[in-house]
Amino acid sequence: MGDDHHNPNFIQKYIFSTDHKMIGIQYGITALLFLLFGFFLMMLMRWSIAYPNEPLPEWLGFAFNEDWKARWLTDGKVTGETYNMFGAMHGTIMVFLGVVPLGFGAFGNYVGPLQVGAIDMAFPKLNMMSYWLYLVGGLMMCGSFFLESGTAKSGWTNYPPLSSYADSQHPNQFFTGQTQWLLGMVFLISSSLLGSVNVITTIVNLRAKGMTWMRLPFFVWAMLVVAFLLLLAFPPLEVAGILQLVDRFTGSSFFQPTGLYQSGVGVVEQAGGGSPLLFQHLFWFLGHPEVYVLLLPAIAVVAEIIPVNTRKPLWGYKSMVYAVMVLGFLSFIVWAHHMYITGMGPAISTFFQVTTVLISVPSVVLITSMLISLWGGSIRFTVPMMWACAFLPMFGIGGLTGLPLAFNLVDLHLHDTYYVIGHFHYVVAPGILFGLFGGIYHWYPKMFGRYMNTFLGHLHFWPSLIFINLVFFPMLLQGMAGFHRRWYNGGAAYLESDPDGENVFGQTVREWIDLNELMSWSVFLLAAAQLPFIINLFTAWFSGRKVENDNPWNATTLEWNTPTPPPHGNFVTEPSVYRGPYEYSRPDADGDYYPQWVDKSETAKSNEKESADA
Amino acid sequence: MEIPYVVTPRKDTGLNNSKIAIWLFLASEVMLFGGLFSAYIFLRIYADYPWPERALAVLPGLVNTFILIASSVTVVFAWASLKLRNWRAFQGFMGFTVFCALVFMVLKSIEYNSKFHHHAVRTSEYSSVEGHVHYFEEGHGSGSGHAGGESSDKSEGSSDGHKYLSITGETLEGGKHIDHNFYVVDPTAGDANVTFDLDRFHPDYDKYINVIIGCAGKGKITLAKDYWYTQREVSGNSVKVTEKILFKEGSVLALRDEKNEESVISIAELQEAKDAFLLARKHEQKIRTKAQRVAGAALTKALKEDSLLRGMSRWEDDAVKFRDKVLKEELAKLEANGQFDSDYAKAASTISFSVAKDAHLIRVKPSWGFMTGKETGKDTNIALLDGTLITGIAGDSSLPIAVDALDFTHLVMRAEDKGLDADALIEESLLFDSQVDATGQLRTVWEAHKKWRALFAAELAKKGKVPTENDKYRVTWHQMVAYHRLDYQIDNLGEVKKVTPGLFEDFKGANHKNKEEVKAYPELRIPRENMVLDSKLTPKWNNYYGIYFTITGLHGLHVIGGAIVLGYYLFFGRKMYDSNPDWLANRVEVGGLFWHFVDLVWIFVFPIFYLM
Repeated sequence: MGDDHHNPNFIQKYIFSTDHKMIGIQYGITALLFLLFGFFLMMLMRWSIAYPNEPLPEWLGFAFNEDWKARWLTDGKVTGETYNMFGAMHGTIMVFLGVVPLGFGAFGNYVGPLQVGAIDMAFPKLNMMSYWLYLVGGLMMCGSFFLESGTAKSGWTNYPPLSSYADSQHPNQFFTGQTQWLLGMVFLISSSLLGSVNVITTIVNLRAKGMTWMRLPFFVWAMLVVAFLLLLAFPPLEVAGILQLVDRFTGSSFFQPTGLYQSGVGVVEQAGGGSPLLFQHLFWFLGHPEVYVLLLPAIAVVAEIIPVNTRKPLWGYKSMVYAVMVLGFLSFIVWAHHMYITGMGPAISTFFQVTTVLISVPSVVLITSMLISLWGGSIRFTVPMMWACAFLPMFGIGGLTGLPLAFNLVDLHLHDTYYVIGHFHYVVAPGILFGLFGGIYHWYPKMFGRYMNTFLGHLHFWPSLIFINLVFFPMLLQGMAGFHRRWYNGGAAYLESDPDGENVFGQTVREWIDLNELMSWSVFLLAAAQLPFIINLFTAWFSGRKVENDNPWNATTLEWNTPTPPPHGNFVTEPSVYRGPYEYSRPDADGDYYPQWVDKSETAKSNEKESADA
Repeated sequence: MEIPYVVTPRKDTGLNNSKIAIWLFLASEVMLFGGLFSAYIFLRIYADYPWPERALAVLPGLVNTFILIASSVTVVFAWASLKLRNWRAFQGFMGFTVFCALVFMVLKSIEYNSKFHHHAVRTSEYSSVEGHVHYFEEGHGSGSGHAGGESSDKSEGSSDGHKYLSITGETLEGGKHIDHNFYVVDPTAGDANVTFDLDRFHPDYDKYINVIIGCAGKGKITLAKDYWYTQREVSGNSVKVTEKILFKEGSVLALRDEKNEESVISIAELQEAKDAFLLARKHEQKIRTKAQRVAGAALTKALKEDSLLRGMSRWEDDAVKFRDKVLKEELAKLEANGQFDSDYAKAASTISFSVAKDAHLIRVKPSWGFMTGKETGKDTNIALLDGTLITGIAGDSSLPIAVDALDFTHLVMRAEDKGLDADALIEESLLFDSQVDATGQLRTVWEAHKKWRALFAAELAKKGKVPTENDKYRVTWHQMVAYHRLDYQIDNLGEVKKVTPGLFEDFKGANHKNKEEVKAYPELRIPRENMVLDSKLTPKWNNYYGIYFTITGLHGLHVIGGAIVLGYYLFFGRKMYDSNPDWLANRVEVGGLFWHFVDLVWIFVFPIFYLM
């Protein structure tokens, strides 16, 4: 089709590119910037939690001008409303604008087509549109920091009726944070729709010759499942968003029960008869599959890094493939475990409790397979491998701390506490993000033809590992002691009103509140630990060690069969696939592996060449 | 470099790229509409009010159903024509398909339009009426004799070219038709004030101010007391004091371009006051933040060194007290130095105006804010959306409405929940009150309806059936017209049936412009304090209309989108046809699949909204 620019100009090549690799890099850079912003918001929140009575220090307040401070801070301190704004946007940015675009958008776009041996995505122009819709949606949400209303403030879940009335006092409903959030979400959903249709079509129809289903790298399988999750789970959230927009603009009451009372207004003049529960069902129908949309790309990246660096086939490839499909299916029928305390009734709670426990089976299959893959391997502790190795126990903690939450009786105690925050942050931050960091170090040599610096890599990895645990482990302890997840002052106000309040196990807030300072300073140091990464990312681009050949890690999958960096059209000759994705530890090979593209008859010749290159 | 399988299918999958993509897209669409229909089921099952059944005119929906089915057939013919390489036939069939889409949307917009102009009110006793808000003659029940906003529209508004009210409606029988749905404050009945919230006031919302001035009359709204602020600028140890009175008491609140006069406050001046307030707040916040930092540092030091506080946590009582003490001392020190005092930066966050005794009624649209205290003659305040507050004595805010539907089903449902006698409650309904139903026509209608339903129940009893709640407690516009045509003498069902508006009159709905028909609709005046919900037949009225508009609206967007794509193939497809006719045929096939999906959605929409 018309995407074949022989001499693309700057704008065609770097801005409105239709090349899946450039779009992948655009996604990656944008997502990393959003992650950085989301991290910054969290630092502001953590300051307010640890030091509720102190004004924001200058080194944190630099981003705001005096007008903004006068409007949103009181005596320089973060107010509850402002904290809610940061909280809602932190969650939204990290989930929708950071991790998903990095995992699915960046890696899915860059690596996916290369691994199946396609010259590009099936629909390059839709691919470009998908990126731009994502960017516009993200900027709409974040841009509302400059509006008079501020951004959305009702948490990343936007539960009505709170969110329905948020900002409702503004005459121009369009330019309010909550409305912009909802509209931005419609853009993001359109973006992911285009992205997922594209990815599935590419995997189904553009596989190279000989690339049968069971020869697909695990990464591709995971992307296929993620694409289906995005395709089918996002529309109900779109319904929720549209219904909430209708509520906001027309005064309807889809999510407002009869006789709702609003302070300052009295009984709200509205039809009533709706239900906030409807929103929660629609939201979590996306919300839970979304967890696997976040997770699977990270698992997939780790599953690619491990065989390369252990020089051993991925253990249980087939069972991992089936497990990931079962996981995808089950993720659609566990959503209401987020809603145990809404009073759905014991029958429904029990059903969702059972499915939730069931879903841990395929998850455990995945992580166990990767763990066993390490066994007896000749492990090369490259920087990507460090991240992959850290991913396994970190994600393990995240997963295991989720088990108590699956049981509705235990959840009554833990719901909305810092335990929940600790649990899912263990999954997302030291789990998923570590996996994705590993992916960046792993594929960087292919993307730019240069290695990232190993010393800076270690300087990034070790402090990150230590401090991230110091941030999230105390959360589990605080949560069990009853710390509520939305306290903007970290519990100081609670102590003031109820100094010796105990929970059912006799634990008090007083005992655990001092951990706040430790956690907050860990966050600030964790931020500092990201500096080596940022420096590395940019300096390696120009001055990193050049790769020796097109397959620097001696890997087997097709992306390493391209020139470095891959040109438009990816492959020099049309690739053919002769074998499975992880043929390492082959005694019959001169090296220890057969790449997928090596024909059996050419094996001997190829091995000679590989050893000469090394 | 060419992407493969754009036109020809891949051998092992048997599909080309766009065929895979459209099926995936439709799967996503199924989830979208599936979510919406699930929401419909949820809302209907959990409704704690009578869900409207068969509330829509069936004929337009039925016609639209056949239109969409026809277009789905012709889109297949269009595809087949391409396969047969018959361009003219393709044009014909595709043209018909797109034309069907247009007709569908026209019918849809007629349906929508009639609902947007149909008023509905629910009272505090859960009875509800629907109808049109009519113009009432001067003096007819209007408290003060002023025609309020509308008279100022004529007398002052036209003189300087201003249009104070943007809500003047269409013409009715030569007279002016005004949407008489207002919150009213009566300045003649007691002190009235208008207060602007400077933090939230925004010049873009000048329509509020314009209407308030337009209603009250020129020069009738004046500043209640001097608006002033002081500001001290500190450089080193020297302090420069700027005291400034911005506006003097008695300054007149005026419209945007009535400036260039002394002592006139207009939008620009209000913006100036707002700027002064924001500046003052900024200064104050800056100095206080500085003092907070000093206090924080002092506490840090004390926690290390002070014998009493050593080892304590910052949140503990004594530490907090110590901190507050240092903060206070620091502020006092700054005050002593002249760098800060309680008046350091002082500007009121509100600016208040009083309305003259002889001003006209102030009327604002209910959608502009909230009114607390709605009873005529009692204290009231109206909080507008931009923070502006109008206080005073409530004028007559009652809603004049010509009723074309009367509905007691909600009342009956509520009464049964509480074990009350619904029929007795209906007889005492405030809608039949002589203040509300001045002519007694509504009572007459209801009496006629009771006769009709007795006859109807007897008729049904012969077949062993009973009338529904809707039959018993809802009077539709068809029935009102029929009863009126029979002069409210209801003796047998056949007669009523004969004069009841038929299928085609039904299509148009209640016609408030027809001089004869409008006589069938009783004119009520519903006191504002008895209204709990005031709406058009829009999503606000209840969730039935909410989900109806949402689903049909999204469906309509799909129809428009599909028509644009198919229209593109029709008008710009020739080039593709000439280069590779199978390519265009594939595209039309894909577009046709989408079109069938749009049709399928309507097949669900029609029964659940129009028939069930």
